[in-house]
Amino acid sequence: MEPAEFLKTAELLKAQTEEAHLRTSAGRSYYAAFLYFREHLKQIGLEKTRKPGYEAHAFVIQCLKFCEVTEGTKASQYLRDLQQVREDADYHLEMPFMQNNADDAFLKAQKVIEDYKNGITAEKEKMLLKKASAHAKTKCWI
Amino acid sequence: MNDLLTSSPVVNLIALDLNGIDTSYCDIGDIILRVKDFFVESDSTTDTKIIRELENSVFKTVSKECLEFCDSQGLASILAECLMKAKELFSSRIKLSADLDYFRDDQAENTPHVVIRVEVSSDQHTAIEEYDQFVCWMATEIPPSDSQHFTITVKRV
Repeated sequence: MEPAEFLKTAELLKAQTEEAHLRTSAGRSYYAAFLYFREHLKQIGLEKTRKPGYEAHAFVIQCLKFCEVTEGTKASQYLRDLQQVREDADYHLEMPFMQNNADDAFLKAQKVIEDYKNGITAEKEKMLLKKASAHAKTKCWI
Repeated sequence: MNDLLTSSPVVNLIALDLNGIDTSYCDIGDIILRVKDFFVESDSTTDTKIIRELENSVFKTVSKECLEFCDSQGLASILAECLMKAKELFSSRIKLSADLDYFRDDQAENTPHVVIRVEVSSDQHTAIEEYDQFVCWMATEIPPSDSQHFTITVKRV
């Protein structure tokens, strides 16, 4: 299954009016973006091999953060912010969660994937892989 | 205010917002600015300024825990920069706050991060565009070793 499939689910959910659907939509938007980048990093040769289930989100987000390529660093910040929205939606039930919040999470998830695809080049990705791998080694993730 | 708060760059930043006007509300737990209180106390000769202040009204909160964390990690100046940039970029800002939170599912519970929350009254296109500008600024101006401790959420209300 392609991670982008979760965006379709997010879109279906945010078309509903119940708050539970809207909150769940934000979660699917985050996972669509997070899994896209996890799978992409795997495709280019960077996969968390040590304790794969532990700090799985931090692995993707931090590898992009420390890659020294603007497209990756920017994607990292989007992912981290979407992760925050997802946690707000799933855990902070006392905080209001409205249609706008689900709509914006969906758009940000779409945008972070598209912006990365449009901005990255083979040369930049080579640099990204080198720097991200170096960071992953310092964290004992690979 | 105690020494920690008065020595914080964040407090200095907030003080800049006042333009010499006394804050009307300050709590030990939170540092809160209320521009609207200035409105109540002003006279008619400052109408233009009042309107400008009202148009750009900000209700800003930085929690004590957040300040302490930033001071202890050497991140107070980064927080100040982020708040200043958020204030500059988000045109229809209603509320701006910073607090600590923890990622529950992934990272150790004892590793907090700073959450900057911005509430805006703008449309989706404007809000996402301004958010994107903020992210681009962070990606280019704030070192990853610092920016990894910050998230920003923008809520349209």
